[in-house]
Amino acid sequence: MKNRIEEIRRTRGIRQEEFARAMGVSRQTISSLETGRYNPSIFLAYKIARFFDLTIEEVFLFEESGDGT
Amino acid sequence: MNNNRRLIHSALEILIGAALIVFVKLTDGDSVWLGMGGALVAVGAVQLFLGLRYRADADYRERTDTEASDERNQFIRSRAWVWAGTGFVLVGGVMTVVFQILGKRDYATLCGCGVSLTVLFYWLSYLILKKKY
Repeated sequence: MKNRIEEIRRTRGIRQEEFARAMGVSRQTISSLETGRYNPSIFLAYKIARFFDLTIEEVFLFEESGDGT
Repeated sequence: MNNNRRLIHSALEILIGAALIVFVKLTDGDSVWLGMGGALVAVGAVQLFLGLRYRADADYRERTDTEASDERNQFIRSRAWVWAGTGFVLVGGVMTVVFQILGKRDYATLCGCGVSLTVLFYWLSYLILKKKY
């Protein structure tokens, strides 16, 4: 599943470390999310969308062919 | 596990390990117990050091807590167990056949039992988790 985390984070001038701390995850997790190597749980996806004050659909781009992991 | 409990566990490991070493030295017992005692002391000492560092160093505490609760880390840990289990069953299966061909029946039986037990644990875990989720 693709996402716009990096784009939104950069637009708002937030560093990966700050974002990771706010989400309660490691910086490596943010990096993996941004490069699409790891898909978040629904809980973390909600948390990320809420942090940016956006909906999940605005942050995560659903693709029918994605296998989820 | 909270940190105080971890510290107590570490201290107990060191005590049990030291007791084993003393016991073997006094009775001239089996060196297996000596090795086990040494390993317990070493593991306990490392755990104790990490526990004390967790208590004293706020940065380390935050990093450790984040790593422990990090969902990607948990995902990686469970995937690693899946790989380890699959590897064990595959290697164990091959070793069973190889030992059987070489005429080492005891080893073949041991490997076969290990593989069977792992598969049995898998099915039991599957049934329990299926009910839970």
